[in-house]
Amino acid sequence: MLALVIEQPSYGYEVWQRFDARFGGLLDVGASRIYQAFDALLDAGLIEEVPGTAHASRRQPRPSYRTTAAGRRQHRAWVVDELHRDPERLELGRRLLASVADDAVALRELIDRYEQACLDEMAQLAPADADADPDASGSAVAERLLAEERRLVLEARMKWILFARRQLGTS
Amino acid sequence: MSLLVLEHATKRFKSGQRETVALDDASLELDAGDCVAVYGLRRSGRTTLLRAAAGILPLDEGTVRFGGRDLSGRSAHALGVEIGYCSASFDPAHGGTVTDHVAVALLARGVGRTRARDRAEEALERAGASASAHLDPRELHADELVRAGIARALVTRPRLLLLDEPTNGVDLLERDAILALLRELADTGTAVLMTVGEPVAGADRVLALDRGRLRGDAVPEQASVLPLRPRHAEPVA
Repeated sequence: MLALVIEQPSYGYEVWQRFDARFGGLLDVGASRIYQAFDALLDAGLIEEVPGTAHASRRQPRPSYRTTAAGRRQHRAWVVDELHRDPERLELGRRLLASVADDAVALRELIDRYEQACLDEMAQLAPADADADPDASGSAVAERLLAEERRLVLEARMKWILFARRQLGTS
Repeated sequence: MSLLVLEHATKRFKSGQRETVALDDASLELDAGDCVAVYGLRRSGRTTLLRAAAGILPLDEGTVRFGGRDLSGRSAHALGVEIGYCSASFDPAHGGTVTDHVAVALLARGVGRTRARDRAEEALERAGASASAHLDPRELHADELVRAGIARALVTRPRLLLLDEPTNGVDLLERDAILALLRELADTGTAVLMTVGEPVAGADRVLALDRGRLRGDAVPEQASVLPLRPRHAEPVA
């Protein structure tokens, strides 16, 4: 929500439409939740009403919102936090692996399945648009950066799978 | 019937007392329009797999069939005509322009010089390498060498394109452009089998190769006759 308001100050319903277009399928949230989120962001001082927009025209008889400096700082911190959640993921993996650590057959099967999942994910990687002008669209650049990050994560996982097989003495 | 079928392909190399299994019971099927990437690190058997698929490597066990025919009996006819092979290097050691190098395969088969040059230029254009046509191959950058290699493999209009690490040493933006090109070639009906040392985008299937063992979905979901499946891009005219 905060990101979308940073992207373009606007009013509630329009932000919800962009939210749905951007995150639909990943985060399905009804329009009513968006207004609750607006209230929470307002209370926390992360967004504020754009002065004079509440009844600016008959077509838009509702306030527009923009982020505050605190909101922009909070957003940057949150994005960084999301980008390196791997330590938590590794800890979760460690605890899950511990449950089958004494069962070599189960471990191998787990690794085989994990590898197949990684291979399937690789097959879902779409080639970047070679003709896209990186200066033309910030979202195109973001897409490309995220795709590369996903690809590198997959590369690390595949190397880990090779390592795991060597450790288990299997091929 | 799949275009390319490897069944239980096994290849061992001996060096002194050491025996290495470069390909270990590997099975794989490819249809026209398929784009398959085989991911593996160095010494995993990637090049052996491609050479086996090209029919230029006698197997210790197993078979390779191309278009339903056993490749071991007709390799000289398949490779370089129906099968294009793009090795890891363009080998620009012998002078001449890129167009000259790309045209060689046709000249060697008796195609006239003018016709061979026209076809070479057409292949270079298809590979996005027209700008390199008049250059000495030694002047080319890494990505231009890859594209020139793809053009050289395409010049005979093969049904199957084999590529050994087409993204190796290429910078990230050019890598994506080359992968998009390979995807386009697959979408226009050429079967594409490439080995890669890193995960890449654009493949229908990705297999893993480790110490000669091939893992993953070796067989297409619907093994059938010549499916054409435009996926990411409009077909190349």
